[in-house]
Amino acid sequence: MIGIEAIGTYLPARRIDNLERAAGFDCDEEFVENKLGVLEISQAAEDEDAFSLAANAVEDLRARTGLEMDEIEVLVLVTQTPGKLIPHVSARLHGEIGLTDRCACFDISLGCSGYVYALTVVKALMEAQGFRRGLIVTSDPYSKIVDAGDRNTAMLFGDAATATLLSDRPVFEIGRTTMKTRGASHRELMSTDSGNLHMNGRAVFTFCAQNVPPDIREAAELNGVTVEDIDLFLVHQGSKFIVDTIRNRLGLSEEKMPFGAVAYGNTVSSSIPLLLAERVASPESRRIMISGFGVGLSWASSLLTRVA
Amino acid sequence: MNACTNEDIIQLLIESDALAEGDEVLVDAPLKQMGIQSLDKFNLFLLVEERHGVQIPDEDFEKLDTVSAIAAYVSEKQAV
Repeated sequence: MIGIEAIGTYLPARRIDNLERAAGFDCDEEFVENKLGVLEISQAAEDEDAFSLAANAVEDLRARTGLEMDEIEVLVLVTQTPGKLIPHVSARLHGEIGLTDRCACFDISLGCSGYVYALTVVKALMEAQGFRRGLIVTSDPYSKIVDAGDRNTAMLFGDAATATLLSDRPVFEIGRTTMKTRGASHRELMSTDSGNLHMNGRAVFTFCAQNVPPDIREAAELNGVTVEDIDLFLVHQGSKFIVDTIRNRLGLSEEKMPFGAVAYGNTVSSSIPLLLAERVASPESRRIMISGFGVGLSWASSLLTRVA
Repeated sequence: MNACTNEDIIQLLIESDALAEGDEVLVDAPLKQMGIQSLDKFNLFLLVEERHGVQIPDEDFEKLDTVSAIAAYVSEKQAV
């Protein structure tokens, strides 16, 4: 059985204080603290990009686990902000961290649903191929495509990367996954001709509020449990307001569905593994529901179960 | 379906925690004047669409900014 063994993370050192600049965006402290929920966003330095953030996350994973790179049989990198389009970022990372020629390597272009999709795809691939060790890296420096003057996005998105080790010695088993797409609504969250990110906040909010709660219930049912059986819900950290809305619609407590992106913001494909990394070593949560949603528009939910 | 009233809209604002029971409500004042932020307005309109069976396009969303205007707009849509 292939599942999650460990997670490494990387957050750039630079922080932008949202409270200091709130007035410039015609909003107040109450809005920043209770609606956005993001007091600071993490931001990559000028010379950092998806590749360098990813390399730092893998280095953190290596420091945590003592992982030998020649054991890795597949590397998949999730990003929508690769910088250079050719070659794929995972190929550059493959060379940087010293993986072998026998290691399969490709990128997945997905945003906030990307981690849940990638877990499902890579687990299936590894089990089909008989692989024992694989890496999923998420890396999205959205600051490179966010218009610094755009109220809808500039105060929200933070930069980060994570590296998840999948192996045959898992801490978490990966359950069955819902994987959905509504391509007809792709214009609500997309890059414009200028390359900047455009987000129709109302449309994205409505999409999340109406589709994510039933999707979580469906994923629970798919895995033979009910919402009440689940210890913790780690959903994409779009904003505090969207997490609160999803939580209220499911009738859950803040403890069961926390908002944890206060100090770094919405980190796209990295938001779920950033929260999950803290929980790998702590045994209190046996069943964890993860749910990602965003660009596409797409959404996906899956159940992680701690291996006894 | 009964016409949508100011009280219906106020109840949805309370249900979505944008207002508390007992808050002073100015039905003809801009929502922001009562401390109702842009994200609260997203949630209000979602609830209005779900509960009253109407679709409110983005161009109308921008124009509707008081409790009384929203109630009148929904009633008019329901009557069509």
